[in-house]
Amino acid sequence: MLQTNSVSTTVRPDGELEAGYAEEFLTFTLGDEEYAIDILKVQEIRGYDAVTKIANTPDFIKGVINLRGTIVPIIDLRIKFRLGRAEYNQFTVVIILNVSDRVVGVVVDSVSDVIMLAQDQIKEAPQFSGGTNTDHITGIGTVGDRMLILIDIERLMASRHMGLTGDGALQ
Amino acid sequence: MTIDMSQFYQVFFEEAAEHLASMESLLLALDLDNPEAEDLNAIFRAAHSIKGSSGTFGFSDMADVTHVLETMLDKIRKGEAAMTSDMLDASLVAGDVLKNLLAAHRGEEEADEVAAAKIRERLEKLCAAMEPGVVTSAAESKESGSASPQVSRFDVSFVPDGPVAQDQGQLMLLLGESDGIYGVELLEPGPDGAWRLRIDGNISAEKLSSLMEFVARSGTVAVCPADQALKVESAYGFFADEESVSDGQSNGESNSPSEASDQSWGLFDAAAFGSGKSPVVRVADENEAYGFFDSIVVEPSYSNELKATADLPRETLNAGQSGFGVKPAGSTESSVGMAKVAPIVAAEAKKISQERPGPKPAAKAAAGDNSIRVSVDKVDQMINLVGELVITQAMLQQSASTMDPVIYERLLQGLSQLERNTRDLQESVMSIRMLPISVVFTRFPRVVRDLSQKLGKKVELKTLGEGTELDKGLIERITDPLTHLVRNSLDHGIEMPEKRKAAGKSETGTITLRASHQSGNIVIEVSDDGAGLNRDKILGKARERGLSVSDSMTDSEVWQLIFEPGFSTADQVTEVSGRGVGMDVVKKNIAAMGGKVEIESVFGVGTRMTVRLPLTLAILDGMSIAVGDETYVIPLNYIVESLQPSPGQIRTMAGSESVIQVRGEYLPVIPLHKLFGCNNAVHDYGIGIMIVVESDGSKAALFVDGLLGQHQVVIKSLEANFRRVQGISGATIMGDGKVALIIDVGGTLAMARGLRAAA
Repeated sequence: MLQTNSVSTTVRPDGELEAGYAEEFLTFTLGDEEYAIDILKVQEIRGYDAVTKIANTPDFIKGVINLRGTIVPIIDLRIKFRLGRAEYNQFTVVIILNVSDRVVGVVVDSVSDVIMLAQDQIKEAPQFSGGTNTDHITGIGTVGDRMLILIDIERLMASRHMGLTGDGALQ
Repeated sequence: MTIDMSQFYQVFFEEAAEHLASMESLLLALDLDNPEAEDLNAIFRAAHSIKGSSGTFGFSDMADVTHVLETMLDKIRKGEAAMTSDMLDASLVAGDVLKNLLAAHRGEEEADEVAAAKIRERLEKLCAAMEPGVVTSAAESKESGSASPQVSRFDVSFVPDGPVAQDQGQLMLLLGESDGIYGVELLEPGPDGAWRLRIDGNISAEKLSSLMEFVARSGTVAVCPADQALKVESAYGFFADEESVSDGQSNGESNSPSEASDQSWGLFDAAAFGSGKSPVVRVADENEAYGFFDSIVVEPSYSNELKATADLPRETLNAGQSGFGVKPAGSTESSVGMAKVAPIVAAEAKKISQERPGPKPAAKAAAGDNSIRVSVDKVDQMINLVGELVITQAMLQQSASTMDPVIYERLLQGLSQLERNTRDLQESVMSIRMLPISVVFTRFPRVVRDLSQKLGKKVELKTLGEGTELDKGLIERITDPLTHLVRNSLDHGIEMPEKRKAAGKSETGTITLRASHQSGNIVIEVSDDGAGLNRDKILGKARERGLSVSDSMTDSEVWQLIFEPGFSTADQVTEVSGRGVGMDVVKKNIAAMGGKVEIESVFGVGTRMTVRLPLTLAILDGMSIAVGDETYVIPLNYIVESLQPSPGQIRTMAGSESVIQVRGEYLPVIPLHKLFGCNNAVHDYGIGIMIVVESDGSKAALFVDGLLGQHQVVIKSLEANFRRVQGISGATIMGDGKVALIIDVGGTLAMARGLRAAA
């Protein structure tokens, strides 16, 4: 299900790119960390607006907004990953994602740029012992002295921990 | 199966379902004593189309059943046999079987192959039964009541040919030896040297005429039942001139046989068409009379695409030549001027259309061509976008309201123009989703027919206001509750014929379905002139079941008792009803649609159930309320009242829980801010507002900060991008563009109960 929607055929399950492919990523920051997601999953980027809270949901689910007539849930990744301070001002950015046929907004500290990453710029993600859930991290990208954490945003959003879907993961 | 192929399947499924539905409604509307040829044709065409397309797509099981059905229908429509009620039943059952098979191909149901085989056998039997009874006229077959051959008398006329021509004795001998002929009598010779015989025998007219072929000059044989001779004369007259139209048969396929082999045939000569272009059905002689009439009806190029063809009322026909002119003329009418017909015929058509309002089916066919199939998704998307437009427009309006009307006159004018246009646009877009309620009503004749037969009751179904339109989503969901109400009326309402007679009513009961618009609601009534509800019996049953009832309850309160789960006053459980499941489900389903059911009943006179529904599922009448920083919407139909409590009204119970006394009832107080965790909410019961709500029979008071106003709100799904949230049924977008959540009252009450239980 996840794979059928995923356009990123370049990233193989083992995290390595096929030869000759370069892919575009959107990079954003959470606290001091820099993340990169597949640009094709991004629908738009907009400012943070008033959200309507939903009772009895985890604190990282900020609520829902009206995106041109569609009700879209907003998730604060800073709270979810406990990175940076969850402040909401005119600079707060929401990335509207289109994943698994759903529209979801994520709050991040800032959006940096769109970059191309070639195969040799991507390294396999290191394995961590215990606790840390790194299922959604597909690799580490290097651009100059920047380290980018590549995440499969689709898998992340569909995961049970996000509480976005009824009971647990999407299919 | 490739994707492309399955797309075609979808079209087939839809079309087949449509054909089946139209076949069923036509069958039900059919008057057995006097079937309209047009209807018979339409039924046949429906079956034929199903057979054709199911064969094409390789659904051979469907094709097999339809094939037999088609064979039978074909015979009926050609007038070879009359439709009997047995055949009608069989056709209906075949329709059901086909529906099942269709559903099976769609993967929705299990295919019932046994039923399919059974109905095929039944239809084959019926077909076989009518085989020998190729009676000469529909009228006669009705009189005889069966298609089996019996001793009948025929008048035969022919011009002899070959060796027998000179020897009558040899002919008599030949005929006498033939199977099924008991007696031959020679009559006066006809005018043009034709011989006339009177033959008695157990033989069909067709067989007889083929027998006569051996001895007659080809194409000169005319066979007709002797007792019809008179009638035939007048039937002939009809073709010759209009004055003598007396034949009651309303179709153009009457195989009026002819005894009089006279010059009147000349009228049918091709020359009389007055148009070389119009399809010429040439009648050379009497013997082809059958084929000729058949061809009028069968002519596929017409019957397939045009519903109105040869069956125009006879009165409108002039002399013989227009008897044929009419056919192409009728086609011209319905095919909107695709005139391939000579002017004289077109003129005739015009005349017909003036004399009579054009046949209804033609109008229908024309309307069908003007519609397109659009997926619901596309329409919904359009509705969404228009909703968005309306909100944007409202926002613009709001920000412009502070502007100086003198300076910004033109801008403000433009904005008010925009308001009108968006409103019109919204209305017309919403109307796309609207379907007439006849879509639902058409299934009831069948329900009533089947059930009344089963119960041995006589019931007439009347439908009014079929044109009333409501949302497609509602149509789908109202069908089952309505069916239940109709069955209920039939089973419990309408009495047995004897009982009705004894009560001074007519034996036939009437169930009336009426739909109408009333102040933004759809009102559907199911009324019967049956026994009415028995107050004492209901009260008695309620007491038996331990419900709290009293004799002082008003009638409407008593009637509401029948919606209690498991409540039944039926003396015995039958196949149809009486188990007490149903009415509570009906009420629940209708409540889920935002509607309600009311009952009025007079004992001995009848019962009327009134269902009130909102116009569409997408829009809801709601009260918006403030709780802390948040705005919520409560569906209006759950709200009983709202009040500002006086300090004495609220008591605590078991320490922490509060109850409020409203008109003698103690209701639990549910502070919404607590339930939904809202900040900055009013906690003091003396300042806020209590909203008394009722759901599934239980009441509670919701404590909120204040009421904001009453709106019609467009319901948006939370689940599309998020998930279900307990206590919330959906969301909506308010005039300022913000999202407000719609409270699911039933869920909220359950949530509050859960909290209490946990505490």
